[in-house]
Order: sequence, then structure tokens, then C-alpha cells
Amino acid sequence: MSSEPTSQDIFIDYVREHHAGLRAFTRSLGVDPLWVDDVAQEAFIVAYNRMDEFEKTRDFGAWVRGIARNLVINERRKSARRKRILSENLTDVLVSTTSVQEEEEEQLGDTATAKLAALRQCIAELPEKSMRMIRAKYEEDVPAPDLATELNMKPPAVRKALERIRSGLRKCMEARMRPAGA
Amino acid sequence: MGKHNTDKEFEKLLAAFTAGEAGVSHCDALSDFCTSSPERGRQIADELEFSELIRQALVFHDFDSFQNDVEYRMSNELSDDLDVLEAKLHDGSATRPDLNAIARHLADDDDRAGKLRRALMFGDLFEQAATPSRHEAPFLESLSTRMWAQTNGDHFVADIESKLRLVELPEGVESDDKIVEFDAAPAAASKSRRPRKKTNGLLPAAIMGMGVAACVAVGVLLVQSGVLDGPNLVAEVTRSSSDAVWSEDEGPLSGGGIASGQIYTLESGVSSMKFKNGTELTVEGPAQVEVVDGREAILHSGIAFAKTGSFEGGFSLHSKGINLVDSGNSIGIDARSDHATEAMIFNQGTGVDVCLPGIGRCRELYQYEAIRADLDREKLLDIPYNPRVFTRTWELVAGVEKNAGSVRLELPGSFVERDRNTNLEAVQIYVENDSFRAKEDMQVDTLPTGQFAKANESDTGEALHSEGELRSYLVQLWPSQVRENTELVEATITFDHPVVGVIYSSDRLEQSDSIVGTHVGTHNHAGRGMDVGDDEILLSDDRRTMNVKLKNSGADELDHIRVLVALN
Repeated sequence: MSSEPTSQDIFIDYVREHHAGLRAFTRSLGVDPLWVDDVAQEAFIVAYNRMDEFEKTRDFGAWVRGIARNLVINERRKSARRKRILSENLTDVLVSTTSVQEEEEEQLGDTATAKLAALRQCIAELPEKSMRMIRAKYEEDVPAPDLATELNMKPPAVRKALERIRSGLRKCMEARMRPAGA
Repeated sequence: MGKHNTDKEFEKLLAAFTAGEAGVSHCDALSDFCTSSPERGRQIADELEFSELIRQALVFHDFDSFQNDVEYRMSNELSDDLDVLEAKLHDGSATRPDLNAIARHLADDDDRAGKLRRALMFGDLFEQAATPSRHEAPFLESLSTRMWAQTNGDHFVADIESKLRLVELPEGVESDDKIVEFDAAPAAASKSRRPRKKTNGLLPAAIMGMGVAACVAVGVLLVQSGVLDGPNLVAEVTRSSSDAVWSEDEGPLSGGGIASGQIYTLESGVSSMKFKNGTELTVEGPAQVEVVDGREAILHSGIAFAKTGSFEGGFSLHSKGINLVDSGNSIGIDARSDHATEAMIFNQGTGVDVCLPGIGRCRELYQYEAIRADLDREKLLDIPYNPRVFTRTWELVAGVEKNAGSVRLELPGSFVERDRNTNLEAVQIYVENDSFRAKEDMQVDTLPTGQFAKANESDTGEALHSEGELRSYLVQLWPSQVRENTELVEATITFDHPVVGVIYSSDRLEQSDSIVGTHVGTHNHAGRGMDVGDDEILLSDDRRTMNVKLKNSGADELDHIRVLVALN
């Protein structure tokens, strides 16, 4: 039996390598958070069906992000009820800042998997109360007023605290991403 | 001019006007009509209003777009601070005017727009890290469902699972270690009395991985007859995978007996229970099933695959949010989630009534259809058919006990074809027809047991006369699209019923297609069968194990072997 990876094996590797970045990229084009994964999956399926057209010397991440970008642009043509973007106007602006150049896309998207791993480590190191707030917000979808009651805080204070935690996590993630000694 | 002619003239002018064909003179004439008759003025206004409605219906077919456009134009007047607006965007509270205001702010500021994009990306990564529903596994599972639905059931699903799990194989477990040995213990011993496996957190994944990677890696345990003689016993455990573990307190009786009115908890593995009326219920743990009586069961959690017996009134299978009443079909229920229960139908036959209890909503399901009961919203939703979740239960149900070599058991609904993106060199097994009675004798190929045989053009074959229930399997090696491979693909397959006939010559395959009533698609391929001179087949003396050596001879040769087993 041949030990060479099949084209499907390669595709699966691509999905594992690029899905985090593709989903984040999709969100960055103003796609409704509830539909981000749906659009990203659609981009993968389009890519899968067009693998014959993909030149292996190219960057798959940039290619599939280009597909996602086109899907998002096409969302503008849909009626409002079926649109998966938050706002046509916002998407117009955000899409216009994307570049087809692979260098930029690489900078934005292809480090996503590493960023995600770093972020998970940062979350794991959060103090107990911060962890509770993050879990309540992102796992349990607890509204800020309810969380405020639970934590004996005022709702604006909860929002502010969540902002601070996010900001701290971002710094932590970036620090972990920097090469040692940099 | 008489009144009739005046009216006619007005209508003519109005028609031209509404059609956009009125010239200046027409408009002047209409104006005169309005001056002399306010009612005609109202009529013109009414027509104009209606024309505008039509235009809006065509152009602004959704009012949202119009409103959005107006809001965007007005957003120049908004003086909200961009930081505040962006914070709203990040926490999900931004309204449409807010979004338009952000767009206005960023329209001429690429740097700020790029900064926002990076912040949105971080926000999404943050959610991927912190929100369980957005972790990698749910994303890939959802993607695989769509791949199944949109790419005609290709193997992306199984392949990605085995790949993900093989990555996690612990030390000492070889990725090629595909065979789980038969468990020689009686059925009851496969329950809680079996020593539990110690795990390090990775082993279950490895075991599952092997379960997926192996086509059929189950140990079949037959229960001694007579177990159903006890009081209240309505079913018996007939077979279990070797990793099946029943709960200490909620397991079958020592002989495998299942009593009515009891709850049974399968902690892991797969186990089948057969009811007196012929219904076979196969559950995959962790699962909890309540056997109400001999014709009714409730799946409280886990996965179940039911082959319901054909009897009046049917077998009732309930789960969270779903009631199924069925007779003579194969159905699957996935009740692992607290928020939704999914059901699908595997075989053709009569439709199955699926009802959402409480509110009386019902839907009739047919072959290869699937439905989700959304428990939060109390809705029945059509979903793509994707039987992947039933892989392990199917392995037990399909009656192919264990395999060696490169073998893949295809799920119900798979067509006889190969994915264009898969350079698969594996023997595929399809259950063509789960149970049928041959209406006429079938010509099968002559295959003595205990020795390798090759396809022989001079074989005159023999007639298979059977009055009992048969099951038909199709064993296939898809021709390579890439190259001719001189290497033989070897596989060993063991069936849980005796093989009574094997067909591998092209003409006999074609002759038997209609008798078998194959459900796995058409075989529009000229070169079906075993290659004369290259391929080899061996049937063991007990007629249960088959060994095949098939050569991938290139695009024109499709290796097909039909295997017929007797069910009773």
C-alpha cells in the first residue's frame, strides 16, 4: 500500500491547520457572530469541491480566505432576512481593507492556531473570579445584569471588568507569541 | 362629448400615464380632467401611489435595505465616539445605526478599519478558546455533517475522526492495531462485572479511534437460548462490543435478560438487545434506556439504532422530545444533547411517524431522511442525513464481525462509488439488502471452502435455492484512477451468519442485482466482478470467514463480490 498522503488527507490537514484563522478572518469581515462558523464551513466545502484548481505551491490559508471573502461579498446581494453579515456598509469598509496579497493574509490569519493555543494557556491562568466572569459570559451566556447580581457588582462594573480581562488576555497572548528574548 | 366617451378618454390617458407613455399633451389633458373632477384627481393619485408600491415591491423588496440606506446616509449626523461604538460591536449590543456609524467613521480611515478587523479577529479567537460550542471538535463535527450532505456521503467524516484520534494514541498502541479481539466471556460478563479499564484520559479516545478505524471491531456475544423464560423478561442482550460496560446497578441480568419496567445504563461500548417481537435495539454508551415493556422503550440519553420488528401496532421508541412508532424499519436516534434529539431512517419501507410530544407536531420520515427536535424551541427541523454518528452501532448491527487488512464498512445510504478526492485502496463493504427472500433461484459462482480460488470463465456456477431470509453484502475494490497498482489488496472479513452463496462473475452479478434488490445504488460499470487470473478468494470451512486478494487493475476494472448469508 502506498504511504503517500491522499489529497483528502492533505485537505483534512489543511482544515485542522486553518480553521481557527479562517473563522477569525470571517468574523473580521463583519459577519454576524452567529453565522461565522457557517460561512467558514461553506468556504471549506467550496475549497474541497475545487481542490483540483488549487496549486499546491500556493498558500492554502490565503486561498480559502479568498473564497470566504467572496462568500461574504456575495452576502450583500441577499435579502436582509437571509444575510449573514451584520451590516452591508460595515462589511464594505472591512472588506475593502483586506488585501489579496498573501503576505498580509498570512500575518492576519495563519498564526491563528498558535494564537489560539496561547490564549487557552492565558485563560487557564486567570484568577478565580475572572475565570468565573469569562465562563459566565462565554460559556453560559449569562447577561451582565444577572452576573452583576451573582457577583454583587453593578452591571457597568461587570462590563468594565470583562473589558479589562479581555485586554489582559490579549496582552498575555501577544507576549506568549513573541519569540523568546524579543 | 358624451359621458361614456369622456370616461373612455380619461381611462386611455390614465393607462398611458401609468405605463409611462404619456406625453406633454397627455399630461395637460389629464390635468384638465383633474381640474374639472376632483374624483379623477384622486384616481390618478391612487394609481401613482400603487405604481410606487409596485416599484418598492420590486426594487426595495425588503424594507430593511431601504431603511438601512437611509440610516447610513443619516449617520453623518451621529457624533458617537468610535471607541464606544466599537465596544458595542464587540459585546454584541451594536444596533444597525451604530454599525452604520462605525462604517461612516471608518470609510476614510483604512488604518482604523484594519485595527478593527484585527480586534474582531482576536474576539473570535477569544471565543474559540473560551466557548465550548466553538471549540475545534464541534466545528469539525458540524463541517463533517455538511460535507456528508453536500458531497454525496464521502469519507471526510470517518477519515477526519480517525485522524484526530490517531493523533492522540497513547504510547504502546499502534495505529495499525485495528482488531479488537473477540470477547470469549458470555454476554452477562460483558456487563459491570468486567474489570474496568484504567484510563489515562487518552485511552478512551484511542479505543474510539480504533473503533472508527477498524471497519468492524466488535466482539459478538451470543446469549444462550432460554434466557427469556423468566418473569417480566421481554428481551435479551444478544451481542456486545468487547468494550461494553453496563452499570453495576442498572445492567441486564446475569444471563443477559432484560426485564420490563427497568432502566438500563450502558456506560461504554455498544450492546444489542433483542425483543421477543423481533425488534433489535442497539445502544452506544454512555446511554440510558428504559424498557417499558416488550413493545416500548425510552432512550433517555445516548445513541440507539433500532431495527423494529414487523408486527401490528409497531414498536414505540421514545426519547427526549421525540416519539417514534415504527414497524419494520431501521431507525437511529441520537439523544446525547440536552437541547436537541435527532432521528433518521436508514432503510426504505413505510414512512415512520416522528412526533414532538406535548404539542402534537408530527412528521413522516422516509429513507435517508433526518430530523432534529429542537427541545429549546419545541420545533421539528429537517436536517441533512448524516449517519456518521451511528458508525459504531452500525458496526454491530451490520453483522460483519471483524476484519483484517484494509477494510471499510460503509454506512447506510452510501452509494457504490468512490470519492473523487480519495485515493482509497481499501476494500469497501456495503450491506446491500439487510433482509430479503429470493423470489427465484440465484446463480452463484462455484466456491469450494478451505482453499483459494480464482475467477474462472468456464465455471458454470450453481443454483442457490433458499426459502429463508437472506442478507446480501457487496464487497468492493474501487479501481484506481491514478495508476495501475500491481500490489494486491488483501482483506479478511468474518460474517455473523453462514455464507450460502458468493457471486463474483460479471454476468451473475448483473443477473442477481434485481433479485437482491440492492439499495446501494446502480452499478453502471462494465468490468464488474473479480479479475480472471489475478484476484483470489477463500471461504473458510465454517463458511463465515472470507479472505480476498484483489488487484487494482486500473480504471476499467471494478472488483465486486456479492456475499449472501442465511439469516435463519
